[in-house]
Amino acid sequence: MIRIAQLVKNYGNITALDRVDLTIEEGECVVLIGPSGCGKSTLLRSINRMVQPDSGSVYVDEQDILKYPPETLRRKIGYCIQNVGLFPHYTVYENIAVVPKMLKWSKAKIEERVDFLMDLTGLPKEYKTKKPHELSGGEAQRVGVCRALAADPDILLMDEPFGAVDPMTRVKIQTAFRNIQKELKKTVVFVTHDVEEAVLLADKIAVMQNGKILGYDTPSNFALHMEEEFVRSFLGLDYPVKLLKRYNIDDLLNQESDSKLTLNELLAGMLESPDGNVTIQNANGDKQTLHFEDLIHYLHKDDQV
Amino acid sequence: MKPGRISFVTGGFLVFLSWTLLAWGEFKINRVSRGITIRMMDVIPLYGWILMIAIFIVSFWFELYRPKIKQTVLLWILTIAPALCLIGISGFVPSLTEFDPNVARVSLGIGFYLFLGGILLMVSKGKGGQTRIVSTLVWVFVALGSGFADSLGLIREYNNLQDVFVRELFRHVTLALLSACLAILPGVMLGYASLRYPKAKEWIFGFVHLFQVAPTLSLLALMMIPLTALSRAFPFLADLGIKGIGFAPAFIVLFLYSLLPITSNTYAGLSQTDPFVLESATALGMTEKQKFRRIWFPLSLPAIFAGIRTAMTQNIGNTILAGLVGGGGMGALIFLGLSQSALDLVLLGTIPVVTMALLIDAIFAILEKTTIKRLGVKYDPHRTIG
Repeated sequence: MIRIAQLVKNYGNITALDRVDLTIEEGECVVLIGPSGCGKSTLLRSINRMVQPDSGSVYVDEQDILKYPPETLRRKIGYCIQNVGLFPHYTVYENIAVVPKMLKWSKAKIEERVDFLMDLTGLPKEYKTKKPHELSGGEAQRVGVCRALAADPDILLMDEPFGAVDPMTRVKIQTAFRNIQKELKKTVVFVTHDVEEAVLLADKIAVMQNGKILGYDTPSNFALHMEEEFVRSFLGLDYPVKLLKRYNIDDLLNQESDSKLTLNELLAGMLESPDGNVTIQNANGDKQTLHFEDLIHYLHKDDQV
Repeated sequence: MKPGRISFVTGGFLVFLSWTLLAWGEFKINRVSRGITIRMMDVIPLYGWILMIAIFIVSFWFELYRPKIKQTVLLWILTIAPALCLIGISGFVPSLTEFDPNVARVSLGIGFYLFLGGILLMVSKGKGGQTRIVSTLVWVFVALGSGFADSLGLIREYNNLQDVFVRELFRHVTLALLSACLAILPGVMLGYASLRYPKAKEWIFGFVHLFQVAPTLSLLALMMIPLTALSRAFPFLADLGIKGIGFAPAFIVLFLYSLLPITSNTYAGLSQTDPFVLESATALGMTEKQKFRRIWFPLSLPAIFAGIRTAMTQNIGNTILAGLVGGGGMGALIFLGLSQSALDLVLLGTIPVVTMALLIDAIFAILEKTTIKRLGVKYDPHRTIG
């Protein structure tokens, strides 16, 4: 658990953080979102002491982070940034193994861990001996995620980690990351300015502006509570449509299948067909026709919208 | 026209010029006598002329009308031409004069150098040009050392001064390389310091620039004053060789001279390192020391090597001036030659200096390349300062 209390940071006349309070529960993925310069990166970076706040405190598991030397703290917190910052003179293996080596893990344990992570992120084993300049943007980003997860930290900080990859690859990595998060249940703090990314990955979204958190809630609750003028304009009036991306057809039918069709793709299908109906094949192989009402019904089922 | 073709045609023109008009050398009965001018027609017999002209006409014909036909073989044949000409000139015997064959000598003239230059331009054309240039020069050195060119003034001077030559050559290399090597550590430290402490940067760069801007010769003169005073005050220093003239002032000046390229390249290398790489090193929990040792310093190595390369090549040249303050080195031969108007002696001093400078430059170029390859980093040498 991370608890941030009354955090203040000024850069000259600019207020990056204005008495920010935020609590992040264990195993939650919290996405900080807002326009450039809203303080989201500063907030993220003050968790692993890459930024020293002017006042206020950060508690990790109810311990003030100032208690530890910064190096000790950072080795327990995974960190992943947009530019990846892989060490160009290290191989993929060496890059991933940096933190475990500093923590003096045994060689066998490191190797096992690297294999596990590369498998998890979908990197082929042959890549171990490659150098970063031989990787594509997406592959480098995966290695970056592996490196952040290497020492099995409880907390993962990610600063626009998928911002620099092309849209096609980004969707792939986002989906992969969502599955990884489902499996590993890390406490993740994720910075982005992309609403769709936030909707897809977040357990909770914190919308920031001018160093303040204007709204902090689950993605579906945001669809109900957009009283704040700025939140509404930032998330967009089409936010409920974006929200559909979060769910897929299995959630709607309450079934398990290989179908990757998301609800906004289903909506697109309904808009395309003249009568607004889409016929799909469900998990049992039976044909099933879905109406627009099904979609609305599902979304309002638990008062989700 | 392609650049290769331009160099080929220009080279051909130079060769033609050197053949027809210019003096290839001078035949002297002894070291100081006035010489007899040697022209090409005096050296090469008629069939040689015909052969050479044939080679040139054929290669020009290929070049201009059949550019697709491989003329590589012809170019390779050309690489040996300067060496053969060298032997030819050295074998020149004037018909009229009486002379002592053990003293008489042939000095090379403008014609030969123009010819050599022309041939180098010609063989540089196309793929493998660099290898051909090197092999042309190697042939020339082989010809010089073969014993067939012993009546060249250059070789005569060498044979007379063999002991001195070897000693001074060794001294030259020691002075130049040792002073540069000793400057590596302080240079790197100054470069790091000027990045770490921005306020000190101007002072550090001012300090290292000072030596670079001050003329080497005046620096040597300046160095004499404190060193003389020192050795007078502490006579045991003089016994160690630390005095106003000789090895010590030359060594110190060369050391100071080496600082700037190493310092500025270290600074450039360190400041060019990707900030995100350094950020993630910190964020992964590396201490400052670990970050410097494992990430920052290794990634700056290509730039630092470039600095050492500059320092060493420039030192090889500057060490000539050590000859003026009794520091020895090739300068001793060169200045002796100048004072005696013995141009061959000057050449004997100059050629090794140029060769060494090129050699060291080449060695470091390879070293830089392999480091860059091994590190897997991209490094742009044109972005360094200083």
